[in-house]
Amino acid sequence: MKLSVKARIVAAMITLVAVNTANAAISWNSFAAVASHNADASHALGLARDAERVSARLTQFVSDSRGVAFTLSRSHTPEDLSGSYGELQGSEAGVDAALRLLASGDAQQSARALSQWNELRTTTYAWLNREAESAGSSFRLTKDGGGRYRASVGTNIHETSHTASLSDEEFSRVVRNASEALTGNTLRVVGTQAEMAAAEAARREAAVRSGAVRSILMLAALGLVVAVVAATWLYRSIALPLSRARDFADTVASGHLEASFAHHRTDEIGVLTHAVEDMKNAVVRRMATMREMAGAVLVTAEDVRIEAVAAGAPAVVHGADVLLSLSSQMLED
Amino acid sequence: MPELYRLAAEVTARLEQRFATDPIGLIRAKGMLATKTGFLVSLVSPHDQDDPDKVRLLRSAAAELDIAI
Repeated sequence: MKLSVKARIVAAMITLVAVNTANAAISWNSFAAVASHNADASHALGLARDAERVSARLTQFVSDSRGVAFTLSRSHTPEDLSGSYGELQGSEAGVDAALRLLASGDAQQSARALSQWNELRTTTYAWLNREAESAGSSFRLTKDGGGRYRASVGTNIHETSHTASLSDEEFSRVVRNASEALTGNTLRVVGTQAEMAAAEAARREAAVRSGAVRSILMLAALGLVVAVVAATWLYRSIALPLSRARDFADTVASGHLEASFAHHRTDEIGVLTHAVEDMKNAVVRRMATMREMAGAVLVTAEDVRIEAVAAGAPAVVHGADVLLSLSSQMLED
Repeated sequence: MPELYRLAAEVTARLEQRFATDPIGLIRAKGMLATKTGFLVSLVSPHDQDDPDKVRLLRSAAAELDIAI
């Protein structure tokens, strides 16, 4: 395939640019994947922190519910209403409002307050059970018709469960133990899951980094091979012929006019070498003409000198000698 | 091919053959040819038109150099 010098250089440059572009694209994708895994790890840690906050809220609500339930067990006795007032620890605004109504001693208001209290209790149980379920632990709290509490506690780690019919004190102890176990287990699960998520993210990041480095090294090696091939190609097709043309010109300049330079190319290098060859041939022709002219001067000077000696003209003889000397020097040069 | 160019090439070839080992002798012979003809045979081009006078002079000068053409 015959290509001009410009086409060869452009082809080599395009090849190198293409290899470098591919290298940059793969590097970009690799580091983008690393950044994505870092984002996943950050998201997992964020979820773990959220779960930890939910666990803290759950602990607070379990404690509040224990106080509410303890007071409810005695709320059916009117004289206990005032005594139980200070023991109530409900955190909801509705609890405080109900307690103020109970303290007023009004039968109608007390009946409405008890209704609201039951509603609040049901809502509290439902919320407590929902929070426990969302935290990954099976915890159920109910109260039967005889005024006894039933608690079912289990964790997603030990898979244990416990169901009991309890008095107020037993209930308080069970709820306290359950809430502590629930909190501890939840925190342990959250911590374990967060550590596993972080470890997995780190493993994926390391794998992606390793793959990226390997890909970059392979492309760099490929780019090096392409660069060497392109440089060799440019050297053999451009630099080497130019060097040979220069050597040929040096040979001609040193007087070796018999030298010749074979060239079969039609590109810029071929045009240049052809011009050098033409220049050498022109010099050879001009030299031949000059030598022929010098020969003519030499022969003429010899004839003139013979005639001048015969005619006794020393000035002409001297002029002929000068011409003979100059032409001889020229021919010997 | 013009007659003058053909004769000039033939005379040049005969002289180069005769003085193959004597370059100075070759130049002297060509110089003598130039003085006899009045022109340089190396400047005769195939694009030159024939000149009967130059042809005659060249034949005469070649004969003086013992070149039969």
